[in-house]
Amino acid sequence: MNKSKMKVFLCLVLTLCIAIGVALTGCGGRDEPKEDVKPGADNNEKDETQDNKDNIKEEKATIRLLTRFSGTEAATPVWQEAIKEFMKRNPNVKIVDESVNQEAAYNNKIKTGLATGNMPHLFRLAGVVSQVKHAKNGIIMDIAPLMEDEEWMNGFFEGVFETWNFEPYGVKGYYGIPHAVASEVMLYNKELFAKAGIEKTPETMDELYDVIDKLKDIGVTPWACGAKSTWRAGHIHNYLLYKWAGVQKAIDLGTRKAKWTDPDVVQSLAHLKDLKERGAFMENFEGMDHDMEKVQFFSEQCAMMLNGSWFIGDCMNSDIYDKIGTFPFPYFKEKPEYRYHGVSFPLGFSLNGKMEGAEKQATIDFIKFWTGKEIQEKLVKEIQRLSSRKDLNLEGIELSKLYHGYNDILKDIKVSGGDSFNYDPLPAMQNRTRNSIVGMLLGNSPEEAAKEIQDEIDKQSE
Amino acid sequence: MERFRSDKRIIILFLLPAFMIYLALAVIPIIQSLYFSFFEWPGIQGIPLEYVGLKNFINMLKYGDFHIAVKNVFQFAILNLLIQIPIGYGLAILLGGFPKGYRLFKTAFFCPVVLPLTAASLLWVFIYFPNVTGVLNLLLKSIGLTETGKAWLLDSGTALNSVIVANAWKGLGYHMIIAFAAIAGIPNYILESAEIDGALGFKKVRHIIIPIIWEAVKISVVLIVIGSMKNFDIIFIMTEGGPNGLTNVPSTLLYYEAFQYENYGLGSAISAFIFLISILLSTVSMRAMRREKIEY
Amino acid sequence: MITSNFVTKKKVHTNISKIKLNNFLKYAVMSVYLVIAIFPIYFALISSVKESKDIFLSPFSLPSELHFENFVRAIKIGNIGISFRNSVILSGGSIIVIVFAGSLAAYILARFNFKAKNGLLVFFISGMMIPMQSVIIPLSYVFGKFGIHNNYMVMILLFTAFNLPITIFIINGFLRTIPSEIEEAAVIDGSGAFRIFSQIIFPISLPAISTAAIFNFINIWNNLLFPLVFITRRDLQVIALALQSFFAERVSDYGGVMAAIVLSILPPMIAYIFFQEKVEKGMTSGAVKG
Repeated sequence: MNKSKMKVFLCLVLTLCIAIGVALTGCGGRDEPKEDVKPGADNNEKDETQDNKDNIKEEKATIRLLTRFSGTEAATPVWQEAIKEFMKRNPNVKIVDESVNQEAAYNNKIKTGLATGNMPHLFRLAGVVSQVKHAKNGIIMDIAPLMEDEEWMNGFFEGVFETWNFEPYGVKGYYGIPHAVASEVMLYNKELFAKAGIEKTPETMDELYDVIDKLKDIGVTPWACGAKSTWRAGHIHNYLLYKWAGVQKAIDLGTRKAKWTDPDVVQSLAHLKDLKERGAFMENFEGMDHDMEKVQFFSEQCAMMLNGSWFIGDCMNSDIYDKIGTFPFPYFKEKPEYRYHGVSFPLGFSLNGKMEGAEKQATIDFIKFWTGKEIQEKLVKEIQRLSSRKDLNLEGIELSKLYHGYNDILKDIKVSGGDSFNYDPLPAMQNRTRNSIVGMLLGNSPEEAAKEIQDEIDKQSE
Repeated sequence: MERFRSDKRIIILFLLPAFMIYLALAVIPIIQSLYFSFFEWPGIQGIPLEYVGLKNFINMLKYGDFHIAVKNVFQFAILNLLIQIPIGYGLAILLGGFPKGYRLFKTAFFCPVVLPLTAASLLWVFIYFPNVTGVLNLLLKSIGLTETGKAWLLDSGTALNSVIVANAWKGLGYHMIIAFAAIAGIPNYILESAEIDGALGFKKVRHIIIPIIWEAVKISVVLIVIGSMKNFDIIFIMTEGGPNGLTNVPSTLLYYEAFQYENYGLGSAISAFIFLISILLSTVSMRAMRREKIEY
Repeated sequence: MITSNFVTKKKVHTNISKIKLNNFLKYAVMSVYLVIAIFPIYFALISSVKESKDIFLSPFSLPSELHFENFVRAIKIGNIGISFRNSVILSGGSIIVIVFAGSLAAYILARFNFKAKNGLLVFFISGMMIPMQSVIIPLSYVFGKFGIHNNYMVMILLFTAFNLPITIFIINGFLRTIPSEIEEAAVIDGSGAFRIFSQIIFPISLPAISTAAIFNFINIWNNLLFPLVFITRRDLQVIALALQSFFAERVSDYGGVMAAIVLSILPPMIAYIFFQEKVEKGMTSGAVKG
């Protein structure tokens, strides 16, 4: 074949491909995703959901759960036992637990699941306002009908469902189910504090700076933080932001009434950088992850740590449990108005909005089981998790001092907020804010970090 | 015979499986990826694409992280060339004289090449661990070069270079083998006469041996450059593009933009960029290597 | 380094003591790099049987006692056993399809005469230029549309699509060197094309096929990107990702992670040691791709 003919041929093939390619992507896109095609490797369970829906309980269902209850997370054993127990009681339900603890891997699963329309039946979405578009598109289920089950519903604390009431954002309904409440406090090692001659826990940031100096004097790293797990530094910044500029600021950032480059937000970032420069953290802490951070705190190399109530179980399993105390995150003397602003939020699961029949029923049954009295009592008993239910019978359960520590904070906090990106509609903000914060700790100025974050917002809104 | 060799039914039947698979899963998707780059998509199945024209490309070109990624991929390619080729070829030349025990050395040098990339990358993460938990830091400390150690994969000065060293370690043996094959292919008498003839031999080295190796060098250069453009795994595992996007290359940036930040439009623009660059590089290198023969 | 070696070679006959020095230098240089090349592997091997806390206390020394429970954790918690099986299924299955489809196509493209022949060859071979990462976005969109999730069959076809170009290139090049008479007798006997292919062409091209197979196997075994995006189920995950997530989830279980690393490097290492020449050849067959 001569050259010109070959070119003609190649052009023809190419045009054909373009036509098919465009046809495949261009046409609509409104089709409902089909049922999962089961992989060749294990083909033993066929979807039998289509059969008939008269007798849902008799139908077999396979449901997939994607949570962070895996690996070293303290709730993992309870979670896995609960799954086993549920399957025992509901022999027709098979549960596939796909949980991963590590944040990046977890996010990857969620994002690819969204893109390929292959979401598990139960999962946890990061952020709050960024979920609104998922609610709009029917990815997550409006659980308002579930709330009519009074026996289950009445046991919850007032208002814990409100986080997922998306009506203010233009979608009617509730889109998350709280399975725990969380607060964050400073944990400290009493013995190391005493050794450094610190008599009382710091109430203001100035006092905290003092504590940091004293701890450094006795050769102890003041504050454990494994910023390679970027949420660790992000959580410290949440607190600094709320104590410096108030929780409303984060909401304003989300609604674009405020900018990250506003002086008070930049200052909140500068406070974090300042902590590093004061030597609060270990050398190269940006390269250590949360796992290593735990080891450093529990092996008494570090004297303090900011962590959430989900961490109580880890503390109880550690060798230094007796030495651990708590104190509220210090406030800025210049900003007494934000003294009682702080981090506390309900933790929730979302349900897949595209479920039907037996799968839907099984998933609802399971979430009710997990957030029901029985399991919630077990969670308090075994890992001292702060429950979202008020109707638990805690008699005979020995509540730890840490449980009380976290619980007291819950009552102390007058204005509470979650992660600062919770209020942002952009899903990229979780990574953007945290990466920029780590970038700042590694050398960028607070202004540069703020600009990076603001640029992400501006890039989207053009 | 001629009828057999032009039997349409056989031709179509035998070509069909390969053609269909290749068309459906490589050719069409790559064309789609170009098509996608003119659209925005929030990454949610069921939501249609929205045509945005050149916006994705404009965003990409304005995007600071993209500039860093492009700079990084060139740094990655160039430093890998500068490390892998001299050392790989140097070792091959040392082995080329078939010294005693050369097989042992050759096997050892090639070992890193056969390791799964994930495992090799993780090993290097352990080597680069910060402070005195890292093997490299311990080593430096034991010879008195450092007290506290460095966070190799964090420091903006060392992060990318540390990954490059790991990548060079992994790939170097490959080029050693290419070079070794080229040198071993030189007929013995040329080498012998080179040793005996003195000045004349030196000429032979220049005119015969160097050109032969030069052909191999060209192959190595092409492979390293194209490999660097396509590289994803080692950065994904060792640094996740971090800290703060400093070690991203276009392929990791594309993944993070699309599958972490849900900026699928921008991700597609980067896809298209990578595709066009690799076509460009491949064409240029094919031109450069036209003289190359294929050997088995 | 290159020139100095040749220059010294030239002077070999003039100064015998220099030879010894050169030899010594040669071995010294090679030994230094030998240590560099082997050390990480050695480190993985010794650390995989140490207790986590000992790994960084004495990273260079042999273990004082053997902790094989690291391997138990790697297999049980790290999912290395199951994912190993998955990787074998995925890369084995892909190779079968690649070799089947690739050698059939290569046979036609090398030995038949038709108009579109050269165009098709270029069409196939230019696939080597398609970067895998460029297709993940459109593919996740299309797979989602057709409800293709965690599907090994599709994964195998996907790997096939991306490895066909090099396979066709290698086998096609090989078959072109085989004289045309080789099928003649069979054609005259009236044998069918399939028979000729399976009884003559396939056996004869085995060297090229095995070269391509090794090359493809290593590509697929190491591939991270496709499973990362298209396989979400943990029980179907491949070894590269299982290793990565085990590491990410349990960084401080150094012993377990090292054991997992060792489990994943053993098969290719053993294969290499036994089939040294073939592996070297197979892997560098990629060197002819441009």
